[in-house]
Amino acid sequence: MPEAGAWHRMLEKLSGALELPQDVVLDLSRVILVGRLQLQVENHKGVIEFSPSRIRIATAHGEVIVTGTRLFISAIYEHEVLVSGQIDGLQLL
Amino acid sequence: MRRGNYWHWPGYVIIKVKGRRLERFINAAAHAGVVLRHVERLTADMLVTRVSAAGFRRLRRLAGRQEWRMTILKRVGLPFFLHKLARRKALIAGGLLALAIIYVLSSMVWFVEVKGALTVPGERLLAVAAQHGLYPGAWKRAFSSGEVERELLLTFDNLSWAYVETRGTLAVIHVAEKVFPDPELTLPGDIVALYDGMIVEIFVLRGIPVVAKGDTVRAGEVLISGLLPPQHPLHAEKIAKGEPPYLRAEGVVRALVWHEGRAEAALTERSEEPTGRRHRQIRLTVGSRDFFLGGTPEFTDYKQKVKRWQPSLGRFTLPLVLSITWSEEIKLHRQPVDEQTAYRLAEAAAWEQVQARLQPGAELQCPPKIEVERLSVGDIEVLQVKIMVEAIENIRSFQPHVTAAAAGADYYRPALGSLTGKMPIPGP
Repeated sequence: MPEAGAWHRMLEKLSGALELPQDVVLDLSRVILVGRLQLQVENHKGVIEFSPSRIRIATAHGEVIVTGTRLFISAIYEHEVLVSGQIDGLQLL
Repeated sequence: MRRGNYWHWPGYVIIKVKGRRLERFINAAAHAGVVLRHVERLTADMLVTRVSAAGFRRLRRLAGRQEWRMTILKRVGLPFFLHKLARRKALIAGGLLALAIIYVLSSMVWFVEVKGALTVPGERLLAVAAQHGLYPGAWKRAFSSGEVERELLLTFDNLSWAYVETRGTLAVIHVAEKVFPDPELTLPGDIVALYDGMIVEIFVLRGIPVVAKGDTVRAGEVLISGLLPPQHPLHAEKIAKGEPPYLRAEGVVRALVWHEGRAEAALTERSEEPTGRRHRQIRLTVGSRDFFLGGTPEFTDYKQKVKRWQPSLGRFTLPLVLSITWSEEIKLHRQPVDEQTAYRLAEAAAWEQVQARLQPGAELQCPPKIEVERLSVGDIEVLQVKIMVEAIENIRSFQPHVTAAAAGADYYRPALGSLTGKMPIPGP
């Protein structure tokens, strides 16, 4: 979609010029990893897959894939999800 | 962040959700604003999570439209606890009754204490407080602290302050008693001479002087009289007021007086040393006859100890006396004492006597006269020191016309103002 791409580039430039946080302006997700114990994804778009060894979380621009053991969702809100357990891998698609 | 042990108060439920595509259940809940916590996937078609009681009701509406089945595993939190409790009515009734009993018991005074009473008996204070509603077992609201305080002050004249403090079930009556001046200080009386002497100066503050400068007086003689003679203007004034014509005489009477101190110190020091020789004599007295066992001791110097028994039958004493005399020989040593040491000892003792007689502010008129004499007391020689001083000092001594006890409490009370005697004031 060339129009969407142009709009996106314009927003990017604008946020850079005005020094606005890009995650807010561009609807980006924020991923915070606390050691290997907890992962916090803000601005998620839903859980795609959920098992004790693998959790896939949809974001506006792709997916966050967490692998590990005894994984569980410690809390899920409308725009935020917290994953806990033994995190072994993190992949951004 | 909304984390931690947050929702025990509002309460939450642990639920089991069964069905296909459970990820969609999680997303649907998040989208609907229901917060799921601790979501664990147990099997492909089952998860366990925790959700608030309100959230659970919304989830049920959500799940009803889909193929998810929810089962409550556990209810946690205060609302569920209260709900469970509501079914146990006897327990609630018991709890409420206990609270009511505690409330009732703590609304009463169980202990009443008195603090600060020195001469007024505590029981009397408690009795007055009880008459006005403050007693063990009284309702706290049934009495007024102010009223009890007022009544205590009205009843007991020698209280100057009263305060009732209530701490829990304890009521403390704090009181402070009035301090009356020493009755002896208000009694009428004369100023008399403490010692013999010659008046040098007389300064009358109150009363009638009966001696003048240059007079010679003897100890006990009246110097300033507290008795107003009939011709004195104050005499008529006092009589008109209904008061006796007496005053408390006051003044300073300085006189030339002589004091003497005399003391002795031995010039030989005696000491005894037991030789170790002992003697015992038993004496039996029957009626008027004496029987001895053992003779008399053949010692020159000795110490004796006697023990005596007289048997008796009830109230009758028998004419029989048994006594044992123990004698212990001693050797006497006599050691001469240095004359200077003896003099020092005697002089110090004599000075002590003189100083005990001198009044504060006494002025010595000339160097003290000291006489030393050797004397024999029995077989001991002593050194006698005599010190004589001449001093000018205040020889005033107050002598009341009557004592406070003889005068009675009422004698001096009216002088203090508006005191009216309900409680007797203890005598001095």
